[in-house]
Amino acid sequence: ERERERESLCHFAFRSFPFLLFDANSTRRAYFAAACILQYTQFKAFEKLTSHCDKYQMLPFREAEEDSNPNFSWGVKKGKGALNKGVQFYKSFTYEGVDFSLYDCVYMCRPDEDEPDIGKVVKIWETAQKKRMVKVVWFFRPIEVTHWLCNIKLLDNELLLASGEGIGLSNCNRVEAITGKCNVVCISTDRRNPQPKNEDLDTADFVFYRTFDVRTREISEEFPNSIAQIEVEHYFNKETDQKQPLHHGGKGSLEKPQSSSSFVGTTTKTVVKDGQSGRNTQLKKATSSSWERQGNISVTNGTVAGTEVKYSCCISPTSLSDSHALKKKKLLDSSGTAPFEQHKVMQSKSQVTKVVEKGGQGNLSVTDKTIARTEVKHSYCTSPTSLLDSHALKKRNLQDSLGTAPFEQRKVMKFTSQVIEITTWVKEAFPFPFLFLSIRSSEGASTWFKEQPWNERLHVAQERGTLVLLENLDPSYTSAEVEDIVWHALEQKVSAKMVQHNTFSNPLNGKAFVIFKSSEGAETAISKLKRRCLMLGDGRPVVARRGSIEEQVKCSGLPGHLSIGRIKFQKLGEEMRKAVSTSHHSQSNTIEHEMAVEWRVLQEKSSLWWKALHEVRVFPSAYIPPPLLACHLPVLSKFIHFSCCKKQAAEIELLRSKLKTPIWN
Amino acid sequence: MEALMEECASFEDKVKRTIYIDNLSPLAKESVLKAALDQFGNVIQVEFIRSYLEMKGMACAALVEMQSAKEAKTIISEIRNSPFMISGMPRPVRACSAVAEMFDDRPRKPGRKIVCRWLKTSDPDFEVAMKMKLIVRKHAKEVNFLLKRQLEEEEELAKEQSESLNIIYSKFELIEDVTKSGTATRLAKHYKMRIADVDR
Repeated sequence: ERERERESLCHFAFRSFPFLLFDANSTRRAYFAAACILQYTQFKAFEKLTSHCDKYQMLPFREAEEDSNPNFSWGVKKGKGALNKGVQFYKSFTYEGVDFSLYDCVYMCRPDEDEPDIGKVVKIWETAQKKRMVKVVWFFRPIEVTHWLCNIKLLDNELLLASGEGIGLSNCNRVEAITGKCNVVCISTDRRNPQPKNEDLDTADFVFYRTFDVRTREISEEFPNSIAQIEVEHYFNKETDQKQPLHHGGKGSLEKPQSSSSFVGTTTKTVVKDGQSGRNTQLKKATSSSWERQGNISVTNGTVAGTEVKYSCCISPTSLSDSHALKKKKLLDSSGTAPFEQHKVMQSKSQVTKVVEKGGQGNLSVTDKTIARTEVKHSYCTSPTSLLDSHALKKRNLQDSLGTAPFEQRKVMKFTSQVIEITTWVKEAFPFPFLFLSIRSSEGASTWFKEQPWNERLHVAQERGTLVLLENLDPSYTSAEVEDIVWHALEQKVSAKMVQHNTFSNPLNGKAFVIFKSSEGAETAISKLKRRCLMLGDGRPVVARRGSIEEQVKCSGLPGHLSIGRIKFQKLGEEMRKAVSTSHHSQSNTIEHEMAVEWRVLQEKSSLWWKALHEVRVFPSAYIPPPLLACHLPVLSKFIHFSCCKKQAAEIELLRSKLKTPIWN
Repeated sequence: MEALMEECASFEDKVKRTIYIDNLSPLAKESVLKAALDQFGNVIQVEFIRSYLEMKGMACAALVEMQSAKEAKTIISEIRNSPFMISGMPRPVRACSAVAEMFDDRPRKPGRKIVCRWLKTSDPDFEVAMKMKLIVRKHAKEVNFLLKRQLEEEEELAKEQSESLNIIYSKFELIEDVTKSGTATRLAKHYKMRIADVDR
C-alpha cells in the first residue's frame, strides 16, 4: 500500500512539477504541499506516527558521554532491575528544574513535527551505561487517528489513550527527549477513576476518556485491566492528596530563573542535528526576561516541495513562564552547521512565542459541568501584526520582543459547545395585562387568500406593499404562532411564514414574512411596532420593517464551477460531459482535488466567521487539519474588527440583563 | 393532544434523518441531487430551501430526507472527509445535519403558550426595548455585510482558480501538442537523448 501511495504521490508531483516551475505563484506551492500532506495524513497517519516513535532512539544525542548533567537529578529510587543488576529504576527525577514522577504525562518532540507527542511515563530507569531512559505510553491526538474516527466526535482537547498490543503503544526514549510536562486529566466514568474536580479540569491541558487500540484500531470507552503491563489504575487520575505536587511541579519550578549559561549548555546538548530537511519546531518566548536572543532567528523552508515557513530561535529558560505547556523545543544553534536552508531572517521579532491551543497568558479553559462530559472552551490568542506568512501551514504567534503588552491586538475566539436554550414557556400569573394567545381554530384561515404558492404570494405582496418582515422572534415559533401573535397584538388577520434557517442564520433570532391584507394595514402595523414596543415573553421586542425579497437572478452557474475553454470542451465528447454533470468525489491525485481543498478551506473559514459573529457553534470542524485552519485568522480579524469585538449574542444579553421586569424562561 | 404529540415526535425523527446541503449550484435540480445521494442510501425527499435574501451568486441549499438517521450521518461524514462535487467542479458541497429551524412546516409544540404585551412608554423597560430593537437592526445589517463579503471572497477564489486552471490547461496543451506531433521524439533523436515515457 505504501508503494501505491508513493506512486500516486509521484504522479501528482510529476504532473504539477513542471507547472510549478513556471508558476511563480507561491500559493500554489502551498496548496500543493497542503494536498500532499492531506493525502499523506489521510492514508498513512497511523503508520507514520508509529514508525517515527522509535526515532528518538536514533537521534544522535551528543551528551551520551556526559555523566552529570547539571540540570538533571534523580529522585526517589524504586529498585534494581531483576534481570540486569546494572539497571536502576526510579520513581521520579528532576530535569530542567521540573519534577517528573512516575505516571506523569510529558511532551516529547520529534525533530520533524511541530506538535509534540504526549505520553504517560510508566517506567524510569538508568541503564548500566548511565543512559537515562523512560518508557512512555502514548496518547493519540484526534488528528492522528482521523482515518478511524469515522463519525465519532471528539472534544476539543481530547486525547485517546493507546491500548492493546503493537506498534504505537509505547516507546522507550531517553529522558532528554522530554520537552515538558503536561497535565492530562482522565474524565472517564470508570469506577476505578477518581473523578476530577472542577479546578483540575480548569488547569488541565488535555482530557481523555477513551482508548484507541493500536492493534484493532478501535476506539472504546472501556479500559482494559492493564495497558503495557501496567495496571490501569495508574492511568487514571491520581488520588486527590497527591494532586498537589502534580500542579506545583507543573508551574512553580518553571518560574525559577536559571542561569542562562547552564541553559545554553543544555541546549547544545539537546540539539537535534539530523540531515533531514525537516521542519524546525518553534519555541516559547521570554516575556519578561532580559535575555536577548541567541543566534539568529531563521525561517526555514522544507525542501520537500512545500513552502512551510517555520521559525526557530534560541531563548532562555526563564521565558517558560507560561503556566501550562512546557513546550521546550529543541533549539537550533544556527551559528553552527545548520542543515536547513535559511530563506528568510526575521527582523524585528526576536522572540517567538508558540501559544498553545489552550489559553496563554491567563486565558484559561473553562469547563462546563452542566454537560456530562465536560467540554472545554478554548481560547485562541493571536497577534495579527505578527502573521508573517499567510501561507504558513502552521501559524504561530509572535510576540513583541519587549513583551510590553502581552498581545497587541488580541483576538480571542471562543468555541463554545453550549447551545443557548430556547425554552418553552410556562404559564404563570403575572401582574401585567397580557394577551394570552389561544390556538385559533382552523376557521381563522381566511378565505380571502387564494392558496398560491408562497413565492408568488411574496412577490405579489411586495408589489402591493403588504409585505412586512418581523424580526427578533423566537426561532422555534411556527408560522401559525406568528399569525396568532399578530392577530392578538395588532388585531389583523395575516398570513405568515417563518423564514427557514440556513448555515449563517442567527440561531437566536427568528424571522418571519407576514402578508397583510392591505398596505394600510401593513403601514399601521409597522409604525405601531416602531413607536411602541411589543414585548415577547422572554424579553424580546419585535422588530418590524418593510419586507423585501430579492429577485431570483437566473444565473448560469455557481462561482467556483469551472470549465476549461468552451471549444475544447465540446470536442471532448459524451463521457466528459457526463462526468461533469454527475456527482463524484474528487480523486486525490487530480488538480480538481487540490482546488476542492481550497474551497473547503474557504467554507471552513466562512463557517468560522459566522460562528464568531453569532457565537454559537455552527459547523463542527472538518477534516481540514488544524494547521490549514489557522490560515483563516488574518481574514477573520477583519470581521472581528467590524463587529467591534462584540458578538451579537453578547450584545443582546447585555441589554436583556438591564430589563427590570422578570424574564420568564 | 395525542395527535399533536405524535406529530411532534415524527417531525423530530424527520429532522434527525435530514441532511442540509449547501454550496449547491442553482443549476442542480432535484433529480440530480437525488441521483447523487442515492449512492449512499435511500433518498425519500429533496426539498430546496428558497432564500429570500438572495443576492447574486449565492449558492443554493436543500434539505434531503433520508430513510434512516444512520445513512444521514454517513453521508455527512463522507462529504466532510472527501470533497464531493455535484453538477460542477471543483467547488464541493457542504453538508451538515438539519436543525428544526430549517424546516418550513413545523408542528406546533403542544402545551405551549406564547405571551406578548405592549409596553407603555412609562415602563422602565421601554428604553431598553427600543435599544434592543436598534441593535437587532444593526445586526441585520452586519449580517448582510458579512454575507456580501463572503460572496466576494468566493468569487475571488473562483476567479483565481479559473485563471490558474486556464494557465495549466494551456501548458498541458502545449506539451500535448509537442508530444503528439512528434516534435519531441524528433528533437530527442537529433540530440541523441531518450525520452522516458511516464506510465500513466
